[in-house]
Amino acid sequence: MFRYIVKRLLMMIPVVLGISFIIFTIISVTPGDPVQLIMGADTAPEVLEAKREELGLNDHFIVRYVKYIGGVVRGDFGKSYRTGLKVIDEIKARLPSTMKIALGGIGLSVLIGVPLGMISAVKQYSFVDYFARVLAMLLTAIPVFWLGLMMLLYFCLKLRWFPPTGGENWKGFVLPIIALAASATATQTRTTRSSMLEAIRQDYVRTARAKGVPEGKIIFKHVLRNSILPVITIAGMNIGVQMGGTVVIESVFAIPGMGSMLINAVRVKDAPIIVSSVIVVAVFIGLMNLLVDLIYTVVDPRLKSQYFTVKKQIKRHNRGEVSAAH
Amino acid sequence: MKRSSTGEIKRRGQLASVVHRFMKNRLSVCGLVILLALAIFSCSADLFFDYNAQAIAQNAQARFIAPFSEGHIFGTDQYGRDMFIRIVYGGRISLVVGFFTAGFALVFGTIIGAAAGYFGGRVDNLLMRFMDVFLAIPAMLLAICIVAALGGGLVNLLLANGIAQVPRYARIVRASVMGLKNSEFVEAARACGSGHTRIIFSHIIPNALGSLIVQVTLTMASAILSVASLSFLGLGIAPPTPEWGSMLSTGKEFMRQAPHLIIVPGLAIMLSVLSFNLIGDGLRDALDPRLKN
Repeated sequence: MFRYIVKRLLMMIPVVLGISFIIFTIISVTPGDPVQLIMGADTAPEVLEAKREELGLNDHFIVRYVKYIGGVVRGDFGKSYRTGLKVIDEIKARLPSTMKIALGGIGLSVLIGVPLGMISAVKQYSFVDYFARVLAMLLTAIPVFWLGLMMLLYFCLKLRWFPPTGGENWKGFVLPIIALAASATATQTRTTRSSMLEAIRQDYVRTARAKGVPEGKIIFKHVLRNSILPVITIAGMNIGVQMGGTVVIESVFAIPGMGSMLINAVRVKDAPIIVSSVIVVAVFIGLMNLLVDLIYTVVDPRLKSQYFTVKKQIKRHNRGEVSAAH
Repeated sequence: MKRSSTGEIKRRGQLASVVHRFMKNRLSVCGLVILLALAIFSCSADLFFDYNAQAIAQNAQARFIAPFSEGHIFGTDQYGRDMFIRIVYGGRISLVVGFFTAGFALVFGTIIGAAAGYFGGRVDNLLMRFMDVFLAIPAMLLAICIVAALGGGLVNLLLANGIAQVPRYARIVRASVMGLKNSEFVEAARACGSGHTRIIFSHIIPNALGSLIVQVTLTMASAILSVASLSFLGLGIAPPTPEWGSMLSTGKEFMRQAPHLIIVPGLAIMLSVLSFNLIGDGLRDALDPRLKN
C-alpha cells in the first residue's frame, strides 16, 4: 500500500516537470514582452531595459526555466513580474477560496447526481427517469458562467438573498458552488444511471431476487456495489473540469481566487504566476486521482490484488529462488 | 429489413442503415434541425443583413429596446444594435470554431494516436507520455495558457482549443489501432505488400470512425462552450465583433436594466451546444452495431 502511494507520488514528478516546461516555453518564446505589457508601450526604453534586467528576462529562457524550477524544488515559486510579490504568498491567500468552490461543486454534484441516477435507473421510464434525463441534457449544455449570471440576476439582484460578490462569508459561496456543480451533476447522473442499468440486468441480481432478498438490499448491496466504479471515475474526472470551471465562475462572482489571479497574469504574460498556478492545479488533480484510485481498492476488493501484487510477486519470486537453491 | 414487391429481402447499405437508425431518434433529429437552421441562417446572413451597418455600427436612438417590440425580436443592445442580427453573425464564429477545432484535433490526434498504437514500444511511450502531460491540465486552463502565449483572435482560439483536445483523439485512435493491428485482415494487407501508412489509414482507421465521429460532435459542443468562456473572460474575441461570449461579457454591466442582453446570447450558446450533444447521442446509438435490429 505504502509502496504504491510512494510510487504514484514519484510518478507525478515528471508530469509536473513536463507541464511546467511546456507552459513556460510557450509563454516565453511567443512574441509579447511582459515588461512592456506591464509598464505600457510608451515607457522610456532605458526604463524597460532596466526592469528587464532586474527581472532576469534577458537570460535565455532555458536558463530562466532552470532557475525557476530550481526555486520550485526549494518551495520558492518566484516573484510576480507585475507586483513583485512572492507567488507562494499569493497562492496561499487565494487557494482556499478556489478549493472551497471546486470541492463544494464536486460534493454537491455527487450528492445530487448519484441518488438521482440511482432512482432514474431503478424506476426506468418513470417520470423521475425522464425528468433526470432531460435535466442532465440541459445542464450539460448550459455554460457555467451563464448559469452563474442568471442566478446572480435572480437571487442577488432581484430577491437579494445572496451578496452579488462572493468570497467574504459562506453566503457568497452558495451560488458559485451551485453554478459549478451543474454540469458535473449532469455527467454524474448519466453515468450512475447507465452503470446501474447495466448491473440491474445481471444474473446475480435475478438470483438475489429469486431467493427473496429484499429489494432495498438488492439495490444497495448487489447493484450499487457492482456499479459504483464508473461513478467514482467520473467524479474523479470532474475534478479536473471543475478546476477549469472555477476560473470562469470566480470572474462572474468577483471572487479573489486562483482563477482571477491567473486571468490577471495571463494579460501581462506574468510567467511565474501562470506556471505556478498550473503546477498547483496539476498537483491537486494528481493527488485527487490518487485518492480516487485508493477509493477503488476500498470499494472493489478485486482491484486490491491488482494494485498490490508487485510486492507479493517479488516475495514469491524470492522464496522460489531460495527453495531452488536448496 | 423490408420485403419489396418481388419478394426479395431488400438490404440496406451500412451508411443507409446508420442514417435510418439516426432518423428514428426524434431528439437527435431535433438537434440536427436546430443546427442546420443555425448553419443556414448564419451562412446566408449577408443576403439579408449588412454586417457593418447592422451588426457593428452604433445607433444611439435605439438603445435597450426590449425583445419583441419595434421590429426587434430579440431587442437591441447597449449601442442600439439589433440582437437578432448579432446572434446570427455570432453563430458564424461559433460554428467555424467548432468545426475547425474538431478538425484540428481529429487530424493531429489521429496521426499521433495511430503512430503510438501501431509502432508501439518506444514511440508509443514517448508520444503517450507527452499526451499525458497535456491531459494532466484541465482543457480550459491549457486553452487559457495558450491564448496567453499567442494572444486572442479567432485563429489563436482555434489553435488553443484544438491543441487542448488532441490528446483525447490520440487516446481513442491508439486504443483501436492497438486492438486491430494484429488482426488477420491487417496481416493479409501486409502480405499483399501494403505499406504502414496504407495499412493504418485505409484498413485500421475506418474501424475507429464510429467513436471518432461521436467524439467530433462532442468536441464541437465543448469548443463552442470554451470559446464563449474565453471571450467572456476577455481573452477571446474582442468586441465589437459579435461573438456570443463577448456579447455576454459586455452585456453583464447592463443586466439589471436590460436582462435580455445576457439571456439571449446565453440561450443561443445553450441551444447550439444542446443540438451538438443530441446529435452526438443519436450518432452513438446509430453507429453501435449492438443495437442493430
